[in-house]
Amino acid sequence: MPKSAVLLMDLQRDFLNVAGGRTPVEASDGKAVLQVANEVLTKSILVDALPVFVMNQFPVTARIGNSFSMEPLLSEAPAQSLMSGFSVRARKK
Amino acid sequence: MIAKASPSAFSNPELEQYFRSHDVQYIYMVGVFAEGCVRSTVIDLVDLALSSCIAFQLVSVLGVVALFTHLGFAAYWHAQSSPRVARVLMIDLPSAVGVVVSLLIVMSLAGVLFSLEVPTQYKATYVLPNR
Repeated sequence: MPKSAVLLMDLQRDFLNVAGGRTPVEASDGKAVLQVANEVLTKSILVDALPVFVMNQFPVTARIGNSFSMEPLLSEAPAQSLMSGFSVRARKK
Repeated sequence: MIAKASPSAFSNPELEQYFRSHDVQYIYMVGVFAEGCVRSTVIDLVDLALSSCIAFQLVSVLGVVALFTHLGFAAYWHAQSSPRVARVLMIDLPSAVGVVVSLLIVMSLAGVLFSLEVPTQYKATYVLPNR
């Protein structure tokens, strides 16, 4: 059977956390995205797919990119971290 | 975990290497902004797939031409007593046949010779069950 993977893109507090996010989506939309991500991680859907987390992470030295952000997505910033609420710990590469 | 500083996930070359090393053939996406990072990633993914397809076709075509040319040279050396014109033709004709066969292969893969139908499963959007 062909191998498959599922990309979990930008599931970060910055985008999903309405309270603390820099550019959050609607709370209901964020909740829906998290629900799908959890279903993937608990193997309720896409059972054979290999989950891969993809996150925005600007290095501190990226001054030009960061200058456009009110709260830069530096690797140390809280908004950089994964949104809480996953029922399965992400697999580290 | 793949970190990126650009919209597309493939801006980090580790992702492509990871997929290739795991022989991944189908990729699903779960994301927040369909018009942003998800879109950029899908576009880069299509570019990667097309590049691989073109590279595969080029290798196939060169292989076919090389095979026929090789056969022509074999015939050339086995016909030492034949006139020179005939021996040259023994190389040229198989080589020309190889080029024609290669063109036919490319045309068939490009859908020129017969229509290609994209399988429904590739065009389908995944719909969550019970929703």
